[in-house]
Amino acid sequence: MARLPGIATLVAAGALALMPGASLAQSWPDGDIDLIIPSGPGGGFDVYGRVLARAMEETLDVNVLPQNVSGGGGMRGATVAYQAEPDGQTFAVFNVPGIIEPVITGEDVSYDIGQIDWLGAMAFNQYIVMVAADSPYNTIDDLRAAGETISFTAYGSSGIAANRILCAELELDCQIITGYPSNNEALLGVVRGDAAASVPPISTAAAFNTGGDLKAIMVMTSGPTALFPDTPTASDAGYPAVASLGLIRAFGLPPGVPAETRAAFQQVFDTALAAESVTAWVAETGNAYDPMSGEELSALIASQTELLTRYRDVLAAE
Amino acid sequence: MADIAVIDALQISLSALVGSGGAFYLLLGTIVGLVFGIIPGLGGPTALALLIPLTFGLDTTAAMFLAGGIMGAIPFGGSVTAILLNTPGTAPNAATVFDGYPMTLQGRAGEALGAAAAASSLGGIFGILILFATLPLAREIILLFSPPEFFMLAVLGLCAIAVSSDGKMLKGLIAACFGLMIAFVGYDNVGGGVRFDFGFDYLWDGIPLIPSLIGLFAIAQIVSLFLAGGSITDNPSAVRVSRVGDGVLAVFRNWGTLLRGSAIGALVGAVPGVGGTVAAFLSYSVTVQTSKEPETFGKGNVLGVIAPEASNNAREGGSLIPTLAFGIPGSAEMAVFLGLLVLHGLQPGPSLLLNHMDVITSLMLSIAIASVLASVLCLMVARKLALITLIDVNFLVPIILAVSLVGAYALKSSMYDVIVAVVFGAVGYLMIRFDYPRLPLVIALFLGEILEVSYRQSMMIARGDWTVFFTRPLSLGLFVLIVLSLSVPFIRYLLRRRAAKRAVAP
Repeated sequence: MARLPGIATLVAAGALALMPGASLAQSWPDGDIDLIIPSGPGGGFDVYGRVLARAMEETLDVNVLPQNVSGGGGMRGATVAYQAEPDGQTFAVFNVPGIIEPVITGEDVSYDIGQIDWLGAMAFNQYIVMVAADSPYNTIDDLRAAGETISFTAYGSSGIAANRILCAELELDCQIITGYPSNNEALLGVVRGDAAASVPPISTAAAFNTGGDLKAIMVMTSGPTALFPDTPTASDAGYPAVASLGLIRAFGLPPGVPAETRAAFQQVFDTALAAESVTAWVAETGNAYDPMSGEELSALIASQTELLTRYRDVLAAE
Repeated sequence: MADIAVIDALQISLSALVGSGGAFYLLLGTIVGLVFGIIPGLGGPTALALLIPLTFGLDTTAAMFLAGGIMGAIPFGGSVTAILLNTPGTAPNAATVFDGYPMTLQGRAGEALGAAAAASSLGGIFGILILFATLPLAREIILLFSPPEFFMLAVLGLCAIAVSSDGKMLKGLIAACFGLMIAFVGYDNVGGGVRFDFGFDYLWDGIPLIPSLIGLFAIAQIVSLFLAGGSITDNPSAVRVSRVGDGVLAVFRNWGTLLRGSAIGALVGAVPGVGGTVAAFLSYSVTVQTSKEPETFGKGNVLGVIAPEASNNAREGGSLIPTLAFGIPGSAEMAVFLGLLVLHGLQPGPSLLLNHMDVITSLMLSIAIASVLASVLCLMVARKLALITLIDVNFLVPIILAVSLVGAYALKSSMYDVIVAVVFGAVGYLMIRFDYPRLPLVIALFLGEILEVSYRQSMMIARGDWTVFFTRPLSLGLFVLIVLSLSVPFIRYLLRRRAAKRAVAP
């Protein structure tokens, strides 16, 4: 009984797959398409990648095959994607700002972010400052007035970078405890008292906090958020710059894909980005969903790069 | 915890199992799990990752039956090759080779398989029962464990090296140090840099565990078997008189070992970031150290098979605890499983317990049933499986070599993984040739990262004060266990010497 919708979706997908094929560039797609995911199976980039791959398969008559290339905080996946054959048969999820940070801190990378051919992004996960529910701190001003080193738990190169920039903007004396295998575990660290606070993505914080173990003290956005409507924003608190920080679930092609193929690819990508299966998934899980075009994505990457460059010394400090 | 909600949910799960095709998916999952468990290199995470796209068209309950079938069947599948070929099918089965393979060499493969099967099924059921019993306390249990405790658990795991070195302490320590060195290759999760990559971007993600295991065990073993010639067991008459029943009975005669193994598996499995492999080693070393005849282990003691196998299946229940309480994976399988939940529109964490209890009970039910089903399926063919050990190794070599290398490749479709497997095959063969124990290397390789990260995190949390390891009650308790576990052999030695003196004196 409950499996019927599944069959209906399959039939609908099959019907859809037959329609637009003819209107696309004749030579594309030439067989299955590879989607490079810069992390292991099960993480945020993986899940977003797979949801989009599934949505693209609804309009294509080939498979979109996710391939996990983890390592180096997203750099390895970016390198493999950047060096892939630019024939429209390979595209990738990029870990932004994970791939910007090593460039700024002067590491030797084998990709040029300016050359990546951006298709668009599915989500922009901005951050939130969380403390334990029984914490004496209720506002950002409390943290600043504490007069002692504030400890944070942090996960991932981007999370650590965001944490450092936040501390620099607030002129807080921070100690950042790293090495947690996920944002959830960094938050668990706050619950059990490893540290006073953490700076996770907003949707992660909302999903973790169904038990009410934590309280939010500032959302790092410019406007109000649906998940934490009563929490002051970064703009309210007077630190608007931190609102451009966030994990971007960005998609792009290696540089040099021929224009005709690229146009066909973009059309399929855009359709998938707005597909009903994607919006239904977002509605069910409460995951962040901020579809943006390639141009919007490029502008956001530029503003992140600018902010990260400003704090180059803070990021390079170890 | 509303018990009525649990019972209602169980009823929904049962009716889904019987009524709407759940049993089919469960059986399918069990068979897939067995096959993936048996083939070295392919394990739970791979099976589940391959399964993710297949479950798009299924409803969530059916997907749970499929996933539960796999998770329940994998641990036993992995023990089959551990026992017959000295090659653990999955990482947590590594502890089973200690005594499982010596039993095979003695022609007792049937008995070992029987013991593993019975221990796996009962361990799986106990794990689920422990999960049900501790669910109301899940949050408190998880909050007890912080980085200092993780560190102590990892050290306790390393103590298993003392047990696995088998009289070759210095060589065991050298192998362990080599394992630790390998464990530190790759991205440094605390400091954020890449270490020891020697210019290869492949090494940014570290030396992958599974291809290394395939090399160290499967390839090294097959090379050494090939060079030795003949068949695996020298005792064909004993194999023909298969003693599967004896193995099953041995489990029922050793309830204590079974219960202890299951409890260790469920508890350690529940600690996020430590996981099942540590549990299996702990369960094994505790059994050896509490035994009255520790010298019989490593030489084919059936308890050495029962302890890790019970723990392996029980851990599946345990690793669900952090998933349900906090949305945190307790094992590698569970991490992939979380991705599967999210794709099906379920957010892992406590809300799952409140809103989708039936999904959880379906999963628990299928893990428990699959544990038993996998064992029964395998016992039906155990007699035939044990005959593998009589085949001329010249016929086994090409098959095992091909399957192992394909397994290494299939994991991530990466040729580099195959190269790692081959390199470790050479390392493993040299270790066999020069009589170095391989398990200390594996244990160190597993624990290196947990050890390092939890140590550095503890130091950051305590702001450089090392007494943090001894001021927290649980951490101190684990430290006492470490001291005990290292001193038991000495105490035993002293007691025996005194007894010997007394015997001589009059």
